[in-house]
Amino acid sequence: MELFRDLFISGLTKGSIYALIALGYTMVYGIIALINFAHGEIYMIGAFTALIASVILGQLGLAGWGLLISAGAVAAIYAAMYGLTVEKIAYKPLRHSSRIAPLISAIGMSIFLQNYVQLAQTPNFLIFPDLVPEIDFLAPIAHIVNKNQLIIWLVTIFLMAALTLIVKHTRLGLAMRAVAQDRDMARLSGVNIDRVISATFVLGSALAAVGGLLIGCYMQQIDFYIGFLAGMKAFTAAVLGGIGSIPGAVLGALVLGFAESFAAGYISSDYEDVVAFVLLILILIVRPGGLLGQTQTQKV
Amino acid sequence: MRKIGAMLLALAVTLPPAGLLMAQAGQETLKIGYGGALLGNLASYGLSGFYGMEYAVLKANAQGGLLGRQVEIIREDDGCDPALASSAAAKLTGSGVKLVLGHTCSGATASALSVYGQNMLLISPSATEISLTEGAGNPYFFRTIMRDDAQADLQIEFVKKRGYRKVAILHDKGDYGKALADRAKAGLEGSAGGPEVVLFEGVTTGQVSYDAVVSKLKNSGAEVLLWGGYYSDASKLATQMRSKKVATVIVGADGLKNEGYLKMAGEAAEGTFATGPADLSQSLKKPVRASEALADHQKRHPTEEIGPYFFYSAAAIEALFSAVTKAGSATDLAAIKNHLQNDDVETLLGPVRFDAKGDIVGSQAVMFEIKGGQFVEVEL
Repeated sequence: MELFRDLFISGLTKGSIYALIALGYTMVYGIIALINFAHGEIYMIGAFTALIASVILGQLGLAGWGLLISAGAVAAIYAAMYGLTVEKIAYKPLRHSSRIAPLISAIGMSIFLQNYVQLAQTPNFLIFPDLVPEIDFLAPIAHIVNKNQLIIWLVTIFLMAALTLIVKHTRLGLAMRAVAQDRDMARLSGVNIDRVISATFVLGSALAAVGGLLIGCYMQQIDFYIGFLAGMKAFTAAVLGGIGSIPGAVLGALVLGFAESFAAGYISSDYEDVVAFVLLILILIVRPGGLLGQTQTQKV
Repeated sequence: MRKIGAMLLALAVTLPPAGLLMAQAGQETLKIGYGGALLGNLASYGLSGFYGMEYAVLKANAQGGLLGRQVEIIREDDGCDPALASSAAAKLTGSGVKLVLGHTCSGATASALSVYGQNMLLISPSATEISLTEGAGNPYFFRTIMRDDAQADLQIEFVKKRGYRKVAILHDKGDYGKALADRAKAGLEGSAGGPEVVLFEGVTTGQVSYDAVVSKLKNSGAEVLLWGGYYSDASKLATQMRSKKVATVIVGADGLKNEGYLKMAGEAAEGTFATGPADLSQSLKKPVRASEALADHQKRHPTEEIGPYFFYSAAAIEALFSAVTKAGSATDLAAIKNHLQNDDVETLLGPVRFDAKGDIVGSQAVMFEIKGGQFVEVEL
């Protein structure tokens, strides 16, 4: 029972982080039907920015929660700028070409960003300071749920709620849904397509950057390569949940997190990834659109 | 403006790469290769080997070189990556090198060996994986470092001596880590009434979190964890174990024994054990001429540590040069091999000779414990 509890908590944490990254994949796909493979790198850049910002802000005298939140804000804004720039440089010029072109461009961007950080920052592992302050009431059960895990859950829930509000109840959200449904029709109705697409990249990148900060605090080390595996898993989660669907991405991420955690716990961590991907294949065989995705009917 | 830029570029192109050892003008040099990690997160291991080589080569050059010629080092970086290692090996072969010091990591060495075939003689100061000198390997591969079985055997002895009953073994699924873990498992299970292996698993490196395996470790009730792998994953494991109040003692090998582990695991590193080659700059069995070599290195690279393989590498070059001199040729690999295996050579490590498999005769692993943020050699 104790093992089950620990694995459940571990799965929930993993799933939350995957969800933060998966949202970026699924939102971009929903709007322009592109798999943004550079998204994992945005997560990595978010972690690096948070590290640099926390050092600078710490020297300016910030500490505790203020430091965590301001470092997160800087990381989110900076990563959002990266997301925006990547869209402008690598995807916008290719918007009207064949579907494979922006995909290749995305893979190229991912490789470029990885190597850029390796050269501009460091090829080595960096120590990431644990910015999350001690939480008193958690101290007695810290061996079950520690402060970082609690913060990861709370922040993820908060950001999900905020994102849902934006998508469901603002003009921007309305425009996003309109573009996702029918881009040409939305344009004819006066929606500024470019701005909506940019806003999607900004939102997705900011979420990934927050994920980078949280996992940095939790694992206490980062390097230029952390985006690859995390991005891959988040992409899987997005497909699992039904790519294009926002609640689907969250559900897919949680399913993946739990599957990996229980597979590692009850079978063997040798098979952690095997179980995760077998699950993906099975779900796609039964429901090709993913858990909450709509099976698209081909328009003639 | 553009002209100046072009001139600068031309200058940069014609300048020799930094660190290349220039020979005296007008005389053809004897090229010796170095293959190993010079970049990437395992560069500290590779550089340690390179500095030892640099010391020994410069010393030989000052005394008239090898076979009357000055020695030049051709460096190729493999970043400890098997894929990069094959291209580094191809480049070294292409540049006319017949003798190589390297490679740094076991996986990279195995992949480089398959490119070299029988056309290259290698001495590695740091590749410890067992199979490199077992079976139908490369006949011209030697090493001055002990093999992993020496480390695994020491770990087993440690577990038994300290009276641990339940042992968990985790590895990173890499060539080096898995071989070490397999050997430790076989050794522990082979001894009747000995400690029990309660957990044996490979961990995917670079994961978002290591929670699940830590929970499982906690649940298994293991008193001691043998880790087969490198320091970066070990430090993540250690941090997460301690934050989950899992008190299992961590025992690693030379892949863990790195300054990076101390830095990244911080307080969680305290009390971790690691096997490794004796730290010859501090050990009681201090090598001859150690202080001289150390002073020489510090004069050349004041800010760089010598690292764990400096002396093994310098000794490898001394043994190699002695064998080349006796063979009277730097290209007759069979003759050089014969001298490496049959003659004792006085080196920094004392007399060095290699057995029929290419392993150094009589090299030993020791156990370290992290005390006060440092690796300290301890009795079992």
